[in-house]
Amino acid sequence: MKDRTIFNIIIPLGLAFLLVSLLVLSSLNLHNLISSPLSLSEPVLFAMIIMLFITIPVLLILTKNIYLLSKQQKTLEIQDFYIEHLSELVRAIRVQRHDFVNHMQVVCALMKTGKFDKAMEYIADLSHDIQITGAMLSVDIPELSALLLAKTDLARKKEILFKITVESNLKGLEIKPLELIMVVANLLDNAFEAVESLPVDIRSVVLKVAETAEYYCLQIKNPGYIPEEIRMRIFEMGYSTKEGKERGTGLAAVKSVVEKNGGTITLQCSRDQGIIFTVSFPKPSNSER
Amino acid sequence: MVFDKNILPLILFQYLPETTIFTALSMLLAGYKIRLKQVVIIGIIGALFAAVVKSQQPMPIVSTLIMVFILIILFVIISKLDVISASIAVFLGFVVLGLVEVANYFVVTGVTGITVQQAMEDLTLRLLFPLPEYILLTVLILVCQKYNFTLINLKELKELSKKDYER
Repeated sequence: MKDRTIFNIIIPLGLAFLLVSLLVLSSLNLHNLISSPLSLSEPVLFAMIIMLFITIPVLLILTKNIYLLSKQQKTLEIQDFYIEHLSELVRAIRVQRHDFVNHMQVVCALMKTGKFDKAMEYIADLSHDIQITGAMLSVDIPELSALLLAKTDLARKKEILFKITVESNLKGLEIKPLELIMVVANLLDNAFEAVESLPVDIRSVVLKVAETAEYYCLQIKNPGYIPEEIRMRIFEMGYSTKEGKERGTGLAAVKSVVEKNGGTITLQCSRDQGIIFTVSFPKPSNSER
Repeated sequence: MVFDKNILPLILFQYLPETTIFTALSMLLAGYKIRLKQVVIIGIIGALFAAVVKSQQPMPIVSTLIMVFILIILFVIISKLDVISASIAVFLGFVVLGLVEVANYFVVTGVTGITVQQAMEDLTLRLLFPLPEYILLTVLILVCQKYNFTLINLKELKELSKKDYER
């Protein structure tokens, strides 16, 4: 809450606080000035007290309205974020639809010229791309699908082979989409950052979405190695191997969100397997559903 | 430190209910759930501090300001609120309590003809004087709780401000 909202709320509230103090003092002065319990013999003081009785509730109403406005503004910010991701999803689907026509034309041309092998090869590549998009869309959380599409686009720009395997649609996963996105986006960004300095042929990131009888699992794998002393501290707030003022918050925040939702995050690392982050969320039992 | 000779009844029947009601009201108006255990602990510690502060006989508003400061600290320690949230909650409680207290003062003196001076000199009157205020505030707390009324929901505002969805 380190933004202007708090100051906007504190100003009228602080003023109300001061006026109440003044009101208490005025009432006591009125009592000292007059001998009778309640009298209009001190009209100025009495008028001031009446004014304060009107002003203070007005300030309280103002405080409440400022709070409501701030709340609306923050809700709008979150909605904007959702809309941005959903627009990305629509854009990606449009692009694919547009490209599909071109692909059909290429396949048609190849077949007309008798280059059936080339056509088959082309269709196989195309089918792989469509499967990935289909897998993304099969996730039952539209915000996550949108994020994966956006990250696929980013991976393409960075020449990273981004492979997505979806074995579960995550239906029944009880976590706020925003929190899930925060977890996945942070882990993917870290993986992309880790591989972008590698040679193009080994620049790959694999995301696996799966479920077991008791857990929903998200696994992110990339080549590389993290020494044990860093692995021990990697989820600590403020700890980072990279330089920069705002470094070292991502994984700590991820861990916090995962644990808040009753999940776990583990890091496996070996020189052969690479770096594997696994996030697991327990499935709700039947009685909880 | 010289305590009032009637310090025990004052703590039990004035400072304790006042601090407890104040705590509950502050929590409720700031959007926090009332936890009876916390409210009672803050009420008891606050009442003891109130007795100590009032034994020093400072100016009326000075004792109130000292109590506001102490209550902010108690909210931070016992209710685990951050300083800003605790301050806002205490300010809200103070504003509403102050309004009702002054209104009570005018109504009681107007209706009964008893002055504050008279009430301060007699223990029974002193204990009975703020009773309408306590009853009104308790009813207010119960009504607010029943209809989930809050002036500011700090908890909700904090959740919305987290921006966990952004990197």
